[in-house]
Amino acid sequence: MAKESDHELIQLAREGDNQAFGELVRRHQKRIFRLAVHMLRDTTEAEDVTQETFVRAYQALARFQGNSQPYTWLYRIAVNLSLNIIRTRKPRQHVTGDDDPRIESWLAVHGPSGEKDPATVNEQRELAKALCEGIDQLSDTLRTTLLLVAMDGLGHAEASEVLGCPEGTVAWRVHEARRKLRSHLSSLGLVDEKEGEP
Amino acid sequence: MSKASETDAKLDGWLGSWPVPERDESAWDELGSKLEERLSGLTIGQGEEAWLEPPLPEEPGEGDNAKLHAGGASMSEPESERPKKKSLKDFAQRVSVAPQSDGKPALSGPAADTPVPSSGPRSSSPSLRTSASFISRPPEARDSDSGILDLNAVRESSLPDTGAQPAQSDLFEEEVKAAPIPIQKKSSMAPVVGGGIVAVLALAAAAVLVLRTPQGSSPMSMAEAPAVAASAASPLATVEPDRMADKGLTAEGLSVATAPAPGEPAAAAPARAAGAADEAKSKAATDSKEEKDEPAPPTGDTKDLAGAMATAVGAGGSKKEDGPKSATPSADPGSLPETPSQGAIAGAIGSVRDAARACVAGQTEPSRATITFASNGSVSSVSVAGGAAGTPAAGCIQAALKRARVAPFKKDSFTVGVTVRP
Repeated sequence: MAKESDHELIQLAREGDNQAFGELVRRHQKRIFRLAVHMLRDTTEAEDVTQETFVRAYQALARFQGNSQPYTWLYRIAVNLSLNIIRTRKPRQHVTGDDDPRIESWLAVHGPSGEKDPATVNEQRELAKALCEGIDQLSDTLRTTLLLVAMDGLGHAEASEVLGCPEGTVAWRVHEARRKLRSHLSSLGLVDEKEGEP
Repeated sequence: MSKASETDAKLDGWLGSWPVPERDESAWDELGSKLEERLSGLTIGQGEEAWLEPPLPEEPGEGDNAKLHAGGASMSEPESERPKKKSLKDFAQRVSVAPQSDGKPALSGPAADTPVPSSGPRSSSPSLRTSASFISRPPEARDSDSGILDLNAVRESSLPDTGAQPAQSDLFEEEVKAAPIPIQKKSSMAPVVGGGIVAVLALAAAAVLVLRTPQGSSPMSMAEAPAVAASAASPLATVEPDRMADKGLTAEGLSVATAPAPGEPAAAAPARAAGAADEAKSKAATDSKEEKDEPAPPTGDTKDLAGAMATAVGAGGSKKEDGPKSATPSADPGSLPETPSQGAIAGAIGSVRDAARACVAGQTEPSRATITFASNGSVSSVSVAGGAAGTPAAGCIQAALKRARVAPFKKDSFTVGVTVRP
């Protein structure tokens, strides 16, 4: 089963092969979950979105035309579901706390291994917190595009398929998001940058 | 590398290596089994399409800049204002096609397809050799007094054909085969001979008219006669319109002789020439239309050349005084309506309604959108309530309705409600 491409798995699933769809789930659930966590900042909601994404995808299998990669199709559903949750939340000022799941996952990789240097841990925590704050301050449009391209590694063409916009628009959004994030980090003194310097 | 780029690289590194939040494999398995349970009770084809729609609204300002990053137009030079790149190619094609209309042997093969720069080809270029014979006599020079000298014709007329070949005659062997000189001579001399005959006849007619005109008549007649003769002596000027029409040539073909102004980019010259040609064509069209509208000039005294010219000048003068009839009236800010008309709003909404409806396809409940137009006629905001509210479809509806546009109006804003039904 592992040899089949995503397109083949979709085709098999359409023909009633549930195992094929299960394989598709196993291949992509982590990426979908990571995207959802960064969009929602909540692991429980992200888990729901991940599960719901595959449910919606399964129901819409007949409408997948095969012109794009199946995972971009899954991403679009996940982004729609995440945005739906964000919009139905009561308006509140989000404050990035230490319990933010993104910070924990950051420290799992960027934290000091072996030695427990409190200063280094704190430094990394502050950096992760600042990054999370900067990302959260972006608009839904910029944040989602940045997450897809910079964090998930999608190319502009793939991101444009997910977001349904031209590649040039994706490029502009990433550029704009980076500029704002840079500016935020610079204001906190975490990066040395002078705006406009060549 | 700039500091911004360094920071971007650093940011990309941070974001790209951000891991998936820690979860045990058992947690993933649990998620998978939950999912399987849910999927077992589902049927393919029962889902809503809303989740498959493009998810995000446009970011303010992204429309202006997206093209830049896509490698398209520059910010300072919109696409529409750029000189068309095709113009030079078109002209080159026109040059290569021109000999066919002149009765000369048409070229085939690569030479006929090769675009030739108007500034003068290098006849030593292998791809242009076969076309060099007619390129050396630009079509503009044959059809109008464009000031372009035909050096080959000068050489042929001034030097006897002794059969001697220049040292590098091998370069031109093919062109000699492709364009036999006698045919070229015949066709090139015909207008000159015809023009000479016309000039002689015109001179004779002018002399007769001058002799027949009473001494007390307009003093301008004597002064104008040579001018008429001169114009008649220029065969290219007199026979040009008919010949051009016969050959399917237009003013565009002649306008390329316009030299670029000092300091002007060379690439701008063809565009300016094409613009001048368009202007000339539109002016000619306007003039011919106006001539149809005006009463016919008196024909009883056409034998009197001075009178005919005066009539013609008078008619031309009156035409100029009339001015262009198609002048667009400038917009008067005071004439703006207080609010956009119902028709304008209906038209604006109607143009985007289908796109908005597509956003709620599959839904059962209608949605209500409130559109606010700014005084310049564009949509300043759209809010969505009802079935689509809080779903991705709301953003889709907003994006669709923001494309609506009405004519400018006086009030600061104007709000209308629209029901978007699935």
